[in-house]
Amino acid sequence: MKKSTTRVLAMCLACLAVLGGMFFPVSSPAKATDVITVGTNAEFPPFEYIGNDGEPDGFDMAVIKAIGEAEGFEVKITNMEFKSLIASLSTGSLDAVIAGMTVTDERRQSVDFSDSYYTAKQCIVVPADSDVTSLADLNGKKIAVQEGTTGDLLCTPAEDNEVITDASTEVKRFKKGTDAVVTLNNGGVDAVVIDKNPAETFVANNEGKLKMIEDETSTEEYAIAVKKGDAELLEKINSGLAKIKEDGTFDKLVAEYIGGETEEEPAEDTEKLVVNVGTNAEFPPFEYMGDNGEPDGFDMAVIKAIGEAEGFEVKITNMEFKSLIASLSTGSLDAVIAGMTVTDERKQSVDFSDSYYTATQCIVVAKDSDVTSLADLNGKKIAVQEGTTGDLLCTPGEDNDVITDENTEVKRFKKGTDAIVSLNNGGVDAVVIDKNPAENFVASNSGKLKLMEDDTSTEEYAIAVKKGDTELLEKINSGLAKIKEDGTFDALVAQYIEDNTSTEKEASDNIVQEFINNLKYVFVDTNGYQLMAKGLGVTIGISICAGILGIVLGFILALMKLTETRKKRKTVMSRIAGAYIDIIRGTPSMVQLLIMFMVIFRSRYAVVAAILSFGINSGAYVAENIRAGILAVDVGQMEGGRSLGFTYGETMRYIILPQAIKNVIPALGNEMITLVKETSIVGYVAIVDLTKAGDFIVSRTYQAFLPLIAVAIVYYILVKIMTKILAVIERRLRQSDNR
Amino acid sequence: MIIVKDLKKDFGDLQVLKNINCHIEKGECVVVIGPSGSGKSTFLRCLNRLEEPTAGKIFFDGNNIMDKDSDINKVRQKLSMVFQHFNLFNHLTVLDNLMLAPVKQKLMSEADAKKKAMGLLERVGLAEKADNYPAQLSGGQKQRVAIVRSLMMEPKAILFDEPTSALDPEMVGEVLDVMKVLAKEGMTMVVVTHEMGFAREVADRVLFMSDGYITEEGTPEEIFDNPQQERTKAFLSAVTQK
Ligand SMILES: Nc1ncnc2c1ncn2[C@@H]1O[C@H](COP(=O)(O)OP(=O)(O)OP(=O)(O)O)[C@@H](O)[C@H]1O
Ligand SMILES: [Mg+2]
Repeated sequence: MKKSTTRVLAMCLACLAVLGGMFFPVSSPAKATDVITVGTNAEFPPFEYIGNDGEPDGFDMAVIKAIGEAEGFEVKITNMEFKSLIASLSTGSLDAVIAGMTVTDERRQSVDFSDSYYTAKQCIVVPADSDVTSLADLNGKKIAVQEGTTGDLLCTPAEDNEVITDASTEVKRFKKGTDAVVTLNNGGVDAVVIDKNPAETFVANNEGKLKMIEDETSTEEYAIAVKKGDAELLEKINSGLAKIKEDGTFDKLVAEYIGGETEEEPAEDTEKLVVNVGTNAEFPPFEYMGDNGEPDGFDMAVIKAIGEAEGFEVKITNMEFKSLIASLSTGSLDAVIAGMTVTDERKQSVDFSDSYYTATQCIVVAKDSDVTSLADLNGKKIAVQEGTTGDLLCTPGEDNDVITDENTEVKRFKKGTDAIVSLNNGGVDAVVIDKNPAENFVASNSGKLKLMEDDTSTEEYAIAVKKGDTELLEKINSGLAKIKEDGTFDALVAQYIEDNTSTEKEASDNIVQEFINNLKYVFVDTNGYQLMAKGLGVTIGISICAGILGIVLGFILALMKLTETRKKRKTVMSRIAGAYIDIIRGTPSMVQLLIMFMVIFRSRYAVVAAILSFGINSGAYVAENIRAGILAVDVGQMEGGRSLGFTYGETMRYIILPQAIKNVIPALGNEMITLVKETSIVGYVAIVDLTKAGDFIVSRTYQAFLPLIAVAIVYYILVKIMTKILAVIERRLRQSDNR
Repeated sequence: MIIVKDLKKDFGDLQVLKNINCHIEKGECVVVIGPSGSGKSTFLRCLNRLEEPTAGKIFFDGNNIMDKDSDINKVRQKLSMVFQHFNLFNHLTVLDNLMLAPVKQKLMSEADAKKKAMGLLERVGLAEKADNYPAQLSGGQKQRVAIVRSLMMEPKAILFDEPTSALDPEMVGEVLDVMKVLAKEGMTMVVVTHEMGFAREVADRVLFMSDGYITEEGTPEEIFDNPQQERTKAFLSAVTQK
């Protein structure tokens, strides 16, 4: 009877508390329900630990306080030895205990437990084909765990560890569960032992590759203990727990204290704060349209990482850059991340987070250069990375106040390294480029180059929020701090900014599918086919131009050399042609190309240099082909022509050459085929031809087989087509031989 | 028509033509005979400067063709040559072979050239071969085409260098017949040949060359029936013995 009365009373109190305790101040006859003393042992992070202020902090503390708030009681925390907690409950010096305390039958003898507020079950994550079935199977293996977790304890061989007894068992401790799983995927460890919630997420994300085994022996239910028989308080605690679970407070606390992974249960998604983030996906690598048509890039990755750290969901909206700030003001966006530079002007309209990226442009010049500022580059030759701030800074234009001289020549390179090489070669006077790469370049060209920061161009990128939205701003700053601390930020910088070419390829265990994936990865995902198509164009372009030049030169040289045959003695022309042919045939075409590019063209106009070099080279061989072809025509033909009153030239034109061509075409065709293949060395002068394109794909994908075989096939097809065309021409020319 | 004065030709140290003097009248058919290597071909080729003479003067139609001012190409248009090996243009059809020089040198319109070519081919019995390539003709046919080709230029004189030596015996006659007709029509001809029968029948005059000189000359009867020089006698007896 007394019990039921207290229960009714407790329920009434609960309702009142929810409706508003202000109007009905708690006036329960039960003693001191407005302040309850809760014991803990602040040595079990993240559940309880001593906070920065010297007071016990942690998940448990937050939970009990939230329950108190929900139920209208005040919580007074007392920190003591774990083993004293239960005794203190019995003596009444504590009303409740929350201390990551596992529910055990033994303890139930002394105390009453609330509903469990946390289930700590360890799981073993292994590759799908692993034969591990229990924790005991991990003896002697390599195990990845999250540092300091139950999993860590379970797996580390120690005196009181009855399962993992093999001292050679290697335990790798990671800060983040994801890192542990990545190591597993890479084969660095045999298993990951981790809490169930994150384990489920990981297995789901790596569908088919991983499996999960629950370690039943390690399942632990944490609950709040009260004095045995204190049903009134127990009811309050259970009711409060139910409330904070329902209104999302509990999940937030889990996210806040225990870790990012656990909040990803889909059931709780509706409770999550959604932040609308605007961007303008036209500023790679910060933001651009990804392959799936969604905005991608460094900024997107950063804001998502912040969201993860702070437990909010990010919804990206792509719009015009100039509309972004207006959209913040109208409230259709909560935040903007768009490589947006912090300016005083913008500060009038929005609030900026801490800067997440500093873009300073640097001028790299030869050590002895007298350039000291950007303005000194007026009228000079500047190399930049295409489309970067450096490009904008250096390109003369209406709104460029610094570089005003129209004669300023800006050379745009795809790669910073190429810009630096051009500088080293004297092809340009300076390179204007981001600070990070600039520092690397100067360091690796020690003594030759120097670096000047262009302070006028320093730009701080920050995230903008609606003016006055300090709550979101704090979250973003806190999240930014977190991802900077745990290395996520640096990883993103490395992934997006320092190496924006890397693309992950899809993995598959099916060999055919794997091959197709691989093909797709090598040629489609990383734009390999575009590179190759461009390279093929360059190869064909250079070959055609050089071929034409070679034939023209060769023809002229052949006629020059033939003056010797006509006059029956050496002539000046035949000597010149002879020397030319002798020198060109006596030196490697590679050396000729380098001399042409670096010495004659001083590292400029690589394509022109290549065409000239190959044309001149080919001319020597073509000259001999043509000369031989002409000499192979019977002398009687010349005499026949001359005896009819034709001049030497007319006889050549009407009689000799038409017949010589037939002799020359096969050799000429072979020479042209050789030329096409020989142009594959133009990569040495920074021209991206077919071969170099293949080379690029190799360095991008770290795969050699597919790209190089593909390049070989394309050359083969090219040569095959030429051979076919040649055969047709030869057939046509043979007409007069028909008997 | 052709006057040669003190013509000399050396090939390096080898004096092939030591001193040649002769007159060839308009409408005359002169046959040059002599042992192999005596310089007959060289003499003939000097006449149109296919071989550059070392010294001497050559007058053609009153002009010294050795003069710097004279245009040898113009001279050759009117002083044709027929070769031992025909030298037809292998990449052209018979008709094109005939039309090439007159048309390209703008001596005739294409239509006129074609008409003339067909007429001449008709005369030598080769009209149906007009569209064939030289490779498709027999030796005799080739040489007849070559003669027609030189006639296309409407020359004032024609030089023949052993026109039948490269032919199978059964084809020699057809070529000589064409030449006989030409001679009868009054074409000025200088013919180097070993065909003594032709020389005897057609020649107005026979020159005997040996060792770089014209050592004997006269009518066919004088040379063949009553040679004066020992060299001539030896040569003729050697040739007729065969
Ligand atoms: N281009 C040349 N270079 C050097 N020597 C030559 C040249 N042409 C001819 N000769 C030499 O000149 C001499 C005369 O040659 P040519 O061809 O005029 O003789 P030929 O009387 O025509 O003999 P054949 O009856 O055999 O034709 C020969 O000894 C020959 O070797
Ligand atoms: Mg001869």
